[in-house]
Amino acid sequence: MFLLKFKNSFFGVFLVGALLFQWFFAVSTIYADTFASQVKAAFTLKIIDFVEWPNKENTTFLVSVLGDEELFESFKGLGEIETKGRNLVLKKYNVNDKNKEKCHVIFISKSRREMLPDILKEFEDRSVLLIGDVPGFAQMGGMVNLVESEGKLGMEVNLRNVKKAGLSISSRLLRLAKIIGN
Amino acid sequence: MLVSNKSIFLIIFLFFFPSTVIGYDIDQLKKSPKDLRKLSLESLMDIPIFSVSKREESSFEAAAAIFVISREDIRRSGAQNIPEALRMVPGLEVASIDSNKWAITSRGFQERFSNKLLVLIDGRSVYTPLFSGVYWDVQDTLLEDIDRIEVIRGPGGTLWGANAANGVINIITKKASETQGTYVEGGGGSVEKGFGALRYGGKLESGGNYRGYLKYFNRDNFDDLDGMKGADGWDAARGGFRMDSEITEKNSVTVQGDYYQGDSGTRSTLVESVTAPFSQTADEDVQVSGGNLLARLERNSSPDSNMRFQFYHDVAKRKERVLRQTIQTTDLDFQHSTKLFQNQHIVWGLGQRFIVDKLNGGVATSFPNEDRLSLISSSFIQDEISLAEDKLRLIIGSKFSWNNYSGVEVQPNFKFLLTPKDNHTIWGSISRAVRTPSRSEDGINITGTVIPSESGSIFLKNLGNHNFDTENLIAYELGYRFRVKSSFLIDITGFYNDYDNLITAEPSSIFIETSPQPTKLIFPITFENKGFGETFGAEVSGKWDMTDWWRLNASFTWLEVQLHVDSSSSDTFLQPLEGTSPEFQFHLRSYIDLPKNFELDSSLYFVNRLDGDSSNVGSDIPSYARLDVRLGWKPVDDIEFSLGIFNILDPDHPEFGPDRGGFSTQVPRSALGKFSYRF
Repeated sequence: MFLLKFKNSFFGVFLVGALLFQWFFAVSTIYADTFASQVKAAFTLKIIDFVEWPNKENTTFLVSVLGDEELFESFKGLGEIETKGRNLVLKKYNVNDKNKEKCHVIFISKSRREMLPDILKEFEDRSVLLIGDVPGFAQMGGMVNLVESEGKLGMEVNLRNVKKAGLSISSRLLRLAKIIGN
Repeated sequence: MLVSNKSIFLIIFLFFFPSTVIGYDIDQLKKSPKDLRKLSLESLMDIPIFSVSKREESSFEAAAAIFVISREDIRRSGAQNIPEALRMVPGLEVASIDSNKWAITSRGFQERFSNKLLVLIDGRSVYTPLFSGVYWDVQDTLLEDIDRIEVIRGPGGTLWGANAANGVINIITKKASETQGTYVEGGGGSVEKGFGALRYGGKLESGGNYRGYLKYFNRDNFDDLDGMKGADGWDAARGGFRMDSEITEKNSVTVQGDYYQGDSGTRSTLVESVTAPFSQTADEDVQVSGGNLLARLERNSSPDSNMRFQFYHDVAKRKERVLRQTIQTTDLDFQHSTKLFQNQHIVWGLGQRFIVDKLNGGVATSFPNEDRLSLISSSFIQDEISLAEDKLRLIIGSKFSWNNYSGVEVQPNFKFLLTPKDNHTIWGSISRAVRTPSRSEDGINITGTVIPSESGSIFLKNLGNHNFDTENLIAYELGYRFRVKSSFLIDITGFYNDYDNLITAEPSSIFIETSPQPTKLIFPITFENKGFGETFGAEVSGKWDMTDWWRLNASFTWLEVQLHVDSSSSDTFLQPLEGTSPEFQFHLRSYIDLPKNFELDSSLYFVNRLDGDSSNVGSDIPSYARLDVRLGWKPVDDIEFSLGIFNILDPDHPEFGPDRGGFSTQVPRSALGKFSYRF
C-alpha cells in the first residue's frame, strides 16, 4: 500500500524535499564552526612572524579584525598574544576610526566582503598587511588570502601587492603559498 | 655496525606510526585552542578544517575501493579524452574498440555497453537508459577544466542508485573561480590530426565567477584487423559554460551547461532489406549532438551539515543506420547530510528522473512504441556511526527506488571502517546492488542476421521482454590501506561478487510471419534472466614519492569471472563474457621533474589476453604491453609545451574484439604535440 502510494505520489515526495530544502535555506546558521575560525585566527597571527614592516613601530602591533563577533572571539580566545618580542593588540576594525592606518594587519572575513573594495583602495600602499578569507582576495588587490586546499588551510600570496605596500615576506612562508600574479 | 635494539625498535615504530611524531592531537586542540599558537605554519596547514560538499571523505578513509585521478594526473598522462585518462585507474578495465569507442568497466562484464558501471559528470548521469551503458564518444569536456575523477570500484547502489553495481565514475569539474583568465591550447599528431580549445573566465558583477569554453578535435581512423584503413574517424566541437556564485557565506549556486556536435565514424553490418542480399556492411559517420543545463543550490550551514538541490535537463541525439534516437532526461535531486547526536552522521536524499525518448528504427530495428516516458523515483538514507573515539565507524544504509520497468528496488549496504592509527585503514562491506532493465531489453525488436534459404529465409531476431527483470548482485569486499606520511601508500582490496538474474538470450521455436510481406521465417531470441555467476579478485595499488622530483604509482589486478545459466536456458551469449575481461593487469606510472622545468612522464601497462567469442562479443585478443611517454616543458609558469608518444612498443595491436554486429580496429603507435598558454 505504501509503495503504491509512493509510486503515485513521487511529485509529492519531491515537493516535500524541496520545501524542506527551502526551509533549511531560510533558517539561519544553527551550527557554529568555531574550531575552523580558531585555526584561521592562529594561522593569521602566525603569518605576522614572517613579515617585516619598514616604517612602523615594531613593538606594539595592531591587528584589526573585520568580521562577525564569533571571529573576533576566536582571535581573542587564543590567549596571550605576544610573539617574537612583538606585543599584539587586537581590535575590531572600525571604518570611522581616525587612526586606522596605524594598524599593521587587517584581517577581512568573507562575511564583510562588501567592504572590500573600499578597504583595498584605502590601504593600497599604506604598509598594512591585508589578510583575507575571501575567495579571489589575492587577485583583487589583497596580499595574503586563506584558501582551502584539499580540506585544509592553504594560502595565496600576491607578491606585487605586498611589495607595493613596502612589506617583505620571508621566503619560508612563500614556499608554502601559492603565488598569484607575478 | 652496532645499533641498539631500542633504536631499531624506535625506527620500526616510527616507520609504522609516523603520526606519533607530529605532536598534536586535534581533539586536544579543540578543547584548548590556545595551543594552536604553539603550532608551526606547516602544522596549521595540516589540520583538516574544511568539510567539502557532500561529505567527501578523504579517499584514504573511505569504506570503498576508491581511486582519484587528480588534475596533475590528467595533465601528465597526455590523455586527450576522458576514456584515455581512465586507463591509469587501478582495477578499471579500459580497452579501445576503435578510435571513438571504448569498452570500460570494473570487475568484469566488459563490452562496449558495459551495463554495470555508472558514469556521472558533475552529478549528471551519462549512462544511457536505452542500451544500458555509456556512449563514450559524447562524454567530454575541456580536460583542463576537470578538477578530479573519482572512480569507485564495486557497488555504489545505496548512494548512487541503480546500475552502479560494479562501479561509479564521477567526473568533477573545477569551480569557475579556479579557471579565471584566458586559456588556449592546441596541437596535433599522428592520431589527433588537430585540436584546439579556448577558455575564458571572469567575474560576475553581482559577485561570483563564470567561465566559457570552446573546443574542437579531429581524430584519424585506425587500421582495421586486416591492416586496411578503418572507418572510425572522429571529430567533434563542443562549448560550454559554468557559473558559480556564493549568494551568502553559506549558500552557493552553480549553473552550467554544454552543447556538442560531432561525427563518430562507425562500420557495421546490418540487415537493410527483407529480400536478398539482406545484410550490408557499410561505413557511416554517426551524427551525434546534444546538450545539457544544470543548476545546483548548495548550503553548508556548518562543516557537518550540507544540503544540495540539483536540477538538470539533458538532450542526447544520435543518428545511426541502426537507429535514430533522441533522449531527453530531466532530473531533480535533493540531498542532505548532517550530524545527529555526537557520533552519527546521516545522509539522505530524494530523486526523481523523467526520461522521454523518440526512437526511429530502420528495417532491422523497431520498438513497439517509438515515444515513451520512463520514470525513476528514488530515496536513500545512510547513517555513519562513530564508535571508539572515531576509530571504528559503521555505515548502514539503503536506497529505495521505483522504476516503470522493474518496479521497486531496494539496495542496502553495510560497511565498517576501522582506523586503529591515522595511517592504517581496514574496511569491509556487504552490499546489494541492481542493474535495472533498459528500454531495449524491455521492448526492442532487432534482426541480427538473416540466414538465406530457398524455402524461406530465416530472420534471427532479438526481442525485448516486458517481463525482463533486474540483474542482482550481492557483493562482499574487504580492503586495507597503509601509508607512511603522504609519500608512501599501499591499497589492497579483495572482493567476491555473487550475481543472479543475469541477462540471457533464449531462443524459442521458429514461426512463420506472413505480414508484412514477404513471408519470413522468424527465429525469435528473447531476453530473460536465466544467468548467474560469481566474480572474485584482488586489486593492489601503491604510490611512492621517492623524492620530491620522482614519483611512482603501480597497480596489479587479478579478476576471475565465472558465469553460468540455468538448466532450462539455451543461452550462448552470457558465457562468452567470461573472457572479455583480462584475468591480470599491471600498471606502472612514473612522474619525473627534470631541471629547467622539464617533466618526463611514462606509463607502462600490461593487459592479459582476452578470450572473446567473435560471433557474439569480443574476440581472442593476445596479451599486450603498452608504453606511453610524455616530455613536458614549461619555459615560464603559464606556457607549456609537451610531446607524447603513445603505444611505443608496438606499431599497432587490437585491445578489444568487435562489438555485436560492429567492427574493431587496432590501436596504433602515435605521437602528439601540444602547447598551452594562460594569461
